[in-house]
Amino acid sequence: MRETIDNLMLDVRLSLPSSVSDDGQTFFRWQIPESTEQLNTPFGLRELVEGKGAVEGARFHEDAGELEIPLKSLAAWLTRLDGAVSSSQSPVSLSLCLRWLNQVWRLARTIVQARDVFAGAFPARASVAAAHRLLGETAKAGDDFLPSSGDGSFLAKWVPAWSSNRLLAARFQIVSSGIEAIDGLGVSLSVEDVDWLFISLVDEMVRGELFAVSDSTVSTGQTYRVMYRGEEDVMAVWSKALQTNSPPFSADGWLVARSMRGALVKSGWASDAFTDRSGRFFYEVIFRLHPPVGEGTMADWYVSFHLRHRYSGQTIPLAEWWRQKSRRWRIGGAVLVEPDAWVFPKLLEAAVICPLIRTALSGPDPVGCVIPVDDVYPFLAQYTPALQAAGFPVEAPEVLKAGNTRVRVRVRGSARPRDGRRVSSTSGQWFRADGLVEFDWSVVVEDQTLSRDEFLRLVDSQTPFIQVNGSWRLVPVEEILRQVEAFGTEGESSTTILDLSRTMSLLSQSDLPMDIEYEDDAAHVQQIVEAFIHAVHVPDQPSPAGLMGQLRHYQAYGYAWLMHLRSIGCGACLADDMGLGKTVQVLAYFLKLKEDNAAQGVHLLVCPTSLLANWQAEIKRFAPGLNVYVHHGAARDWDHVSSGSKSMDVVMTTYATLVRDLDAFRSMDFDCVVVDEAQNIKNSDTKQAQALRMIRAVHRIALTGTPIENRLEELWALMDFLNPGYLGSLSWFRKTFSNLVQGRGGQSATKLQLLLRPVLLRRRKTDPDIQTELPEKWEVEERAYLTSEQAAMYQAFVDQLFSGIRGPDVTSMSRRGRILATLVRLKQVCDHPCLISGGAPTVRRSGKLRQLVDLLSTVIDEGECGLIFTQFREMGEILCDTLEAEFGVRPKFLHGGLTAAARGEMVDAFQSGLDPSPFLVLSLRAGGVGLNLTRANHVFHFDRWWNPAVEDQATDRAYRIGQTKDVQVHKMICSGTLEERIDQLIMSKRELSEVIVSSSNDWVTELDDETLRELFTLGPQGVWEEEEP
Amino acid sequence: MKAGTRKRTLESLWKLVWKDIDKSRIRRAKQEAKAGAVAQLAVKEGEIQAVVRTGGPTRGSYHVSIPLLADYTAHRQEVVRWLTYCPRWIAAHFAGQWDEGFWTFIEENELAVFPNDTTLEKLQWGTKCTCSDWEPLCVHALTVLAEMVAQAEERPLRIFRFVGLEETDLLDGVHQMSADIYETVQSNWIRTIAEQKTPSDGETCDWMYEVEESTPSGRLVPQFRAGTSNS
Repeated sequence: MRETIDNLMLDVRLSLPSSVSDDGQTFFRWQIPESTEQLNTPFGLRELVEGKGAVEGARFHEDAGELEIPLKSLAAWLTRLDGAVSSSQSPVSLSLCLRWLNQVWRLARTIVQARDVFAGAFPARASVAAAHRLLGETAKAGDDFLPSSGDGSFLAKWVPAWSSNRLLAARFQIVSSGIEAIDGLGVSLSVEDVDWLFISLVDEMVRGELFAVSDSTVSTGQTYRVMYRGEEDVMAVWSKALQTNSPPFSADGWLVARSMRGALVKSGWASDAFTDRSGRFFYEVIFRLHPPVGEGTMADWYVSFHLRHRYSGQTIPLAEWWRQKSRRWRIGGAVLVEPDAWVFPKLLEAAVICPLIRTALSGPDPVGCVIPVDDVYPFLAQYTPALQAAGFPVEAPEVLKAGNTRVRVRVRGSARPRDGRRVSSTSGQWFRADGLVEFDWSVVVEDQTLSRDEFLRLVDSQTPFIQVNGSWRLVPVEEILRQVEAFGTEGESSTTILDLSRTMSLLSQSDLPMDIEYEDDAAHVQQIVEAFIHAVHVPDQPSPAGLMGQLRHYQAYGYAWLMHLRSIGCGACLADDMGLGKTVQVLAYFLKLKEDNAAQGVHLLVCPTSLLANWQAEIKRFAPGLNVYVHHGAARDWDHVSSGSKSMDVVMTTYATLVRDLDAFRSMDFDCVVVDEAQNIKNSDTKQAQALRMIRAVHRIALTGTPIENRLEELWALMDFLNPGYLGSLSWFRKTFSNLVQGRGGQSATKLQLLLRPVLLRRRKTDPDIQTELPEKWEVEERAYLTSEQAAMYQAFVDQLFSGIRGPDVTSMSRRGRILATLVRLKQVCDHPCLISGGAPTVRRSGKLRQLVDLLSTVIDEGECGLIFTQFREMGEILCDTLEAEFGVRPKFLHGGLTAAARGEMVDAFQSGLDPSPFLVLSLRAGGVGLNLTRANHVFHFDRWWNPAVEDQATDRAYRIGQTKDVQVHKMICSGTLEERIDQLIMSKRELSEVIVSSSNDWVTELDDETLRELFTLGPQGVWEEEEP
Repeated sequence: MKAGTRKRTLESLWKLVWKDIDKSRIRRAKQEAKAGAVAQLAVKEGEIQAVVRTGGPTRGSYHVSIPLLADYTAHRQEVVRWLTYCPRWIAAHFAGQWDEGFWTFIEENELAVFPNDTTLEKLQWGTKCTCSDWEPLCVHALTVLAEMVAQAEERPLRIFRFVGLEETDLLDGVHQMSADIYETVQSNWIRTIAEQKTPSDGETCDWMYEVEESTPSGRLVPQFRAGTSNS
């Protein structure tokens, strides 16, 4: 029996009412297999007719196999049917028609549950179509016009209001399938028929649940409204008719229509969606982006066009539209009539936003458009948001911003040899600082690795997407590119260790994590790279025992830093401010190497001629243990170097001599080459710079007091000498940091600092840490050589003196006079020979003047100001001429020949900065007292006054209350001359007592001949070699 | 508005015809058309037929027949093909816009849908109206013309009515042709992608029965029994 019931199929046939008062009939039919005749009605249908659950008006037509049910009882019966067929045990299947009817019933029930109904009344004789039209017209009627429903008798019905768009969409679905898609109902349905079916079912259901009908104008307290005549009566009978199965009630048609309109205007009946058959209110055009099929990242993407139901989410490709033979689009149960009328304008609207879509409308049968691989990103980034904002949903494959993205660098040792200087660490391990390492980088996005080539292809094709575990990821290409650019993207896969280190130390600061993997043969590379990355952690070094004096804290650090860079085989640029003691740090470094026996040869020190004397003096003072040979001047002898190199520690020379004797220098392997005033090699094309590059050395150190960070080319040239390749190619360097030159520092400045941090050490006098270690006023002796002209003239005066004071007829008076006169002449010779012999007051003729110019340019570079004292009026003028010629601005000269008012103005102008020159030249006597010149923090004593108190007074012009900076006093001394010796004398005496030296020079005249000779004689190594041949 | 940027309109083309007709008649015809005087406008028996219902002194209902500017009924398939191969024109038509390319196409191919120098004469000779006006182009005929121009301004494909082709017929033809050529114009791979469906695209009816509670509107409001409430 079970099988037979399984075969039971229920069907339905409708006999629709023609007028509103007609009930209409529904015939349910079933087919029972012949073998089960005893089961004459399916699953309790008989109970509907007879007995307890009988439905009013139901009749069996057993001969036809049909159950007849009046429309007004349909709801009740369908309720039972739905319950029966919903159960999983149901042996009954429903025909398409009955399923549709079941949908109608379920929607009606939903309406009732939503309470989305209003009270309706229809002329009792109206046809269903007329009643329907009446509802539609009343819904859209204005205040002053109501469609006439005539006077007479009315039938009360509860009517679905369809007041939500979702209910309207559901109605559309059922209406359109009812009238377009369902055959076999026995009738051809119209929209009016279906709506009447809804009204009948809803009315039936509401009546079944009704408790009362209330008049809302009363219940909301609108009691002051004046009723129309007869209105109350109409409402009373209408209410009653809505509750009971009473016959038609009589009423004034206008009152009825007016009352219904109140409900209808707000209902779905007034909506355009109510009459629409094209689906425009319930479907939307959406775009769906398809990634390329298959593995490649190069293939084009595709956007297909679809309709999507706003509520069910059912999505249909537009392609299906072109498969419909007529302009009716059957979608599931529903049928869209001429949907092209709204779909195409929608596409046109989207095409205005996204030109790619426009192309689809230029050919027949548009179904979508190709998104060329280059346009995928713009489509996602630009067009998708714009389309969405315009109300077009875009379904794109999930493209997530890739999480956990890293650059992975794998480093291998290189088998390829490369010529280059060799660098050793102090531990004796040898490697090439500019030796090659092989590396490759890749990009890791989540679990997926992109090789360099793959990544670059991604960049080229501008499709920053990769597929990870089935979903798409947006790769932060720009960010990665910025990182890997430093490695070069040109397919280079080898670089120098220095280069690699530089890159790594830059990358270690970035946000994008970096994995570095070293293979076994690259273990030493790892050591260096890490040393670079951690360049700031310099291990302490004990001071060398042979160093006279105590290193200041920052000097000790600088010295240890030089040792550290040597250990990692990296050239160093020590760029401390002038006066911070770069010399002593280098000397400590030399001494340490000597004491550790670590030097692998002689050190070479190259400096401008003007600094030779200073170096010699400093070595003598701080590192007397170093054996130094000065290879300079006419008497220089290379054999001395080559034969004595065993015992020699340092060879000093000048840039000019280096160029001249380059072949000799090139024949030697030096340990460390130190270049002082390294700005001399700022132009890599000069002979000096080229010569220096040819010198072979284990380690290179550059000293400069000039800030060089902002002079890109000079910086690059300097670094190119110290660590070739460290700043990359000049063009890369220029490109990367060009905005620094244009004054837009920011990120680039930080980047450059990071890049330089391992190899450039620069401390400022103004650094708080340094400042605490510096005295507020400190004196530096600046030593200069005489030029050969000066030396000859000097010698002549000395010779003349000694021949003149020996004679028998020399009285003590004349002796004294001659000595004092010579004293003045010699001082003038040291200042400038033209003070004696006239001629052009050029810089070249005076070693001291030349050095002064060098020092002053450093002062200018540091943005500071200086006072220059001289005791010779003529020298003051020469100084002014020279400074004007060198720096473009003529300083004022304050001397005794000026009126007090003029001096006052001069001082005010300098103090206030109105004077454009950063320098002021003063005569020692005139500028010695009473002036306030605290704008200057450098004081130069161009010539010496034998009384330190006078110099101190002069110095105090700058070093007094109001001075905010530390004051540096430069005492200019010609090496090997009486200036130097008198200075030593003064210093030694000063330590005893300042009063011993009187204010006059008389004490000199009291010296015996021998002491006098010692004092006056020109010492060795005191002659300036003309640099230019 | 500057002359150079003025939008091209059908109305401006029809000035060629209007200029030789009494201005007051034209004005009145346009008013009548705007007021909805024209009914049953259709191409029948090789001419344009309509019923015009006017008020005023000439109150009444008149049958008007107007000659086609040219007879393209034999070229229907050609027109259908042009439209099929440029869906943008169809889209513009539905959107109520004149596509630049469509306009240019008509001009370049000298389609007889726009009036020319001989149009007036042709209309004067061929137009018939059931009114008693002795003028060959009576107000009723002008009303029909004005209505046709106004309609074609809003619905560009209706321009073909002047040559005997109806909008709906053309659109049906275009769809028919599109359906016929679909498989040949769209490559396999595009059809595969474009017709692709995902599991979530399927049909479901459950959404229809999701209850969104509303408040009964209108004057007479049902009070439901407790226990039958929707909540």
